[in-house]
Amino acid sequence: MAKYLILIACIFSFSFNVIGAAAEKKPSPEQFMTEVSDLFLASMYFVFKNQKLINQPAVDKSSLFGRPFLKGLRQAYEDKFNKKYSNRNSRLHTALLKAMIDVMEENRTLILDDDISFKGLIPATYAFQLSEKLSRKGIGVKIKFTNSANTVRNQLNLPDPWEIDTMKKFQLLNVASYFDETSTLNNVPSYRYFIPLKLDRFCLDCHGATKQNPLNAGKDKSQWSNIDVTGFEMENWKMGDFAGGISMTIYKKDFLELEELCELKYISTFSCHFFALE
Amino acid sequence: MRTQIYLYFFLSLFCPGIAFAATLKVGIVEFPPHIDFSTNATDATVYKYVNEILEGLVAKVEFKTYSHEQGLVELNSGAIDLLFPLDISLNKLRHLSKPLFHVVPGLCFKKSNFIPVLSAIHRLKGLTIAIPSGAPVLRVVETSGANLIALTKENKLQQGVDLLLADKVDAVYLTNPAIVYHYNNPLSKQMACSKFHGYPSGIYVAVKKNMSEDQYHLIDRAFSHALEVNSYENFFDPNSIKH
Repeated sequence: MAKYLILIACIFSFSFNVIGAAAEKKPSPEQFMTEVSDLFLASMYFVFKNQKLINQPAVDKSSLFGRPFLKGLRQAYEDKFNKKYSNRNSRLHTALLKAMIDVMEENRTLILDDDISFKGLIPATYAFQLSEKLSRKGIGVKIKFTNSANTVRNQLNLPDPWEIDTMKKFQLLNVASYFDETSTLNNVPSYRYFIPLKLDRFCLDCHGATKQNPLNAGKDKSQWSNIDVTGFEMENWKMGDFAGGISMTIYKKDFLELEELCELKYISTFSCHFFALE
Repeated sequence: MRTQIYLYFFLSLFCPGIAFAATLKVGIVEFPPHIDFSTNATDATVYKYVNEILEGLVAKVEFKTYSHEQGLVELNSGAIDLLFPLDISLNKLRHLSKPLFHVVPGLCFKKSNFIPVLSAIHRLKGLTIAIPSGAPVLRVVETSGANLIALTKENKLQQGVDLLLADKVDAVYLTNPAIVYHYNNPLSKQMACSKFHGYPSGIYVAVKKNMSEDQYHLIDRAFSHALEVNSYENFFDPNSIKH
């Protein structure tokens, strides 16, 4: 339990020390979702950058777990976005960081398994596990890595009607992201946000051309396979191609901080007492 | 402090309902990594979580650890009131309405045949997969083109592991692969498991058949509120497991 408290303290510290948290102004829902999607992408980038370490046998892998993971995540964020990491002191942000740590921890046995040369913990599978973890925690944040129905590999990532419409918008409009505050999910009023992704270098090992398949390295061209390391046929996509996007949904009630939840009676008076006392 | 708060919380909620001052007998079964009998069960977060809820409800709670089979015998005979954590899909048991947590089913392979990403479902075509009889099987597995065979012995897990290690099946389907694929388990040296992410199933607190409706609702409401306020999965810290 002490370890748990230390880790939570670490997560909070991670949130606090980059910005003057006390003076922090609460972000708008759109700003918040942008920040969360950036963090989500940074964690995928972290997993990509650490593929060698994840799959390598008999090396120290402590940097993939707990507090060192948070440090690496911050570095990955700053490398990817070329800006200082700026976290928010919010319940949802903290839950997101903890979920990221939990996903790595749940893969510990696999990551430390020296007999498995490819663990299958790649950015896409990590992102899926993170999304699943967030939905199971019941904190209202839903993140999905989706694409058009004929290109999505994991059938559980198929787009819903809102996501299909949104992806169509991106084909017509040259915008960096799309935010919708009038939508619903499961009939619950929600903020929805979509950020399209262009194919990055780290996607090409699996989604690029046959010659980019790491499994073909050192082999004669006649021996090349178009099946990637995860077992899927490579799509022959190129750098910069549309690669679907990150779809994020937050129930409006979950975006509100605790005091507001209490004021609006979304949660019981007893729960408010409970949190206030803690 | 937190215990006191929980106590306050539940006393406030259920004051009129605290009708049973008798001892509540609760059985615990092993469920790695959430509860691992190689360490002290009372150190497990799931024990602490359940204990803090129940302490606010009854005068005395007695916990006792059981093997899975013995726990079910005790519950069915009414010797204990509650038993957790349980995958109720294998046994038709009365249980609390909300799952305590979720597990993700998966397949265990010999390491030389490991398939790491199970969303590549086409890779299962033609494989022979052993499935514990009575276990709910994911539709994606049923329709994968794999040859599914049922494990029918009393100890289905052991039967599956034996078949796998003898190369008589290509994979064993488990609702909770962490039972075998966990760094504390020697079996993790011989096999590796991957999961069907996106298909979680609930793990419950089972309740004895003859518990009164009043008592059931009191306990069920307490758990439902606790899970809503701070779910066990949010509370559970995998880092708390001893490495």
